[in-house]
Amino acid sequence: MKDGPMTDNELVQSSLKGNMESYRTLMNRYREQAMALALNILANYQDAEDACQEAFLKAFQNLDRFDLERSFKTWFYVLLSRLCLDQIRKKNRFRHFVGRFLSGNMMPAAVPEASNPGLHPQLELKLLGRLRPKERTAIFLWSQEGYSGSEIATVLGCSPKTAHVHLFRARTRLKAILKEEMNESH
Amino acid sequence: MNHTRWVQVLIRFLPFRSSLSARARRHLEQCPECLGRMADIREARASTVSRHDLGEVEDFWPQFVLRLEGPKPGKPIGLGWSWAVGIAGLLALTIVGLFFLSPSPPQEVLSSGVKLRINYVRMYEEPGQAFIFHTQDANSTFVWVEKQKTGEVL
Repeated sequence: MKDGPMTDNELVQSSLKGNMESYRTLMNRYREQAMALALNILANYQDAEDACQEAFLKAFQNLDRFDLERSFKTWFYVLLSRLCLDQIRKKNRFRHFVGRFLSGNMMPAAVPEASNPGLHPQLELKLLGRLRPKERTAIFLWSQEGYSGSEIATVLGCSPKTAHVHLFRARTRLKAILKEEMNESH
Repeated sequence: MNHTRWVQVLIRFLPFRSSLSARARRHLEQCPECLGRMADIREARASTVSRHDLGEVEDFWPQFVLRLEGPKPGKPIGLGWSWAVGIAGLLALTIVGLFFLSPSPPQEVLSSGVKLRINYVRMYEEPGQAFIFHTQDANSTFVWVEKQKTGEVL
């Protein structure tokens, strides 16, 4: 019998054999990281929770398609980020549709200013709202998860070159925003 | 970028002795490129939401089990195309019913040998003249209606 916690792929194999507790362990292992990623992309706590719930369900339903040679975390991040980006796309379509009927003043903001319960009160989500969704994803994976350009590319479903462009733009934009805010505060 | 990659390769592949560790640390503390990169990461980390910034994250398990066992919440059960299938079925039944249950001519008419009789025809709100052509094979009957010519009396 092996000591220590089971690896992700061992848990996946066990889940595939019908052990639901193994999948529960996987969910608990990644729920905080999943919430952080979803929150960085969607900038809304409730939407992020919904996206995580959906992603965990989708991952379970497609578990037999998961390649055990690959990282479960990256595979799950691919699912989750796609769900989040789809959600943003749908919201944008709806906003454009509604925008035809409403005046510019009544148009909702690019990132909704929603309450984010459970989030550290000092954290500035508006800052993230000024980056594009793919840039937010790239900068989160790079800074919080230590992902390389090619790993970010896998999650975003683009070429490593494009992923580097997203990351570069995000870093440049973030620097400019921080500089701007620093100048305003002085 | 190549410079930091060299340090990463060094850390990854060489046996990680304490002297090497000290050298790597010294390098990271003194090299302006590495320092800049680390400052960038720190800046980005401070601007993004990390798992430590979150409070108690909801346990997704109970909802997950519910959704696995039951239908999707918010979606009515079995209501997809079923309403359309239902309406189509009802329509088909009505057509079949009309075909079979439509009133047939009275028995005395059918037995009298009179197949077609036109008493009166109106055409464009005026009395018209009707002609009945019965073909020889007796399978077809044509009704020709003409507008009444001026001066002609029916």
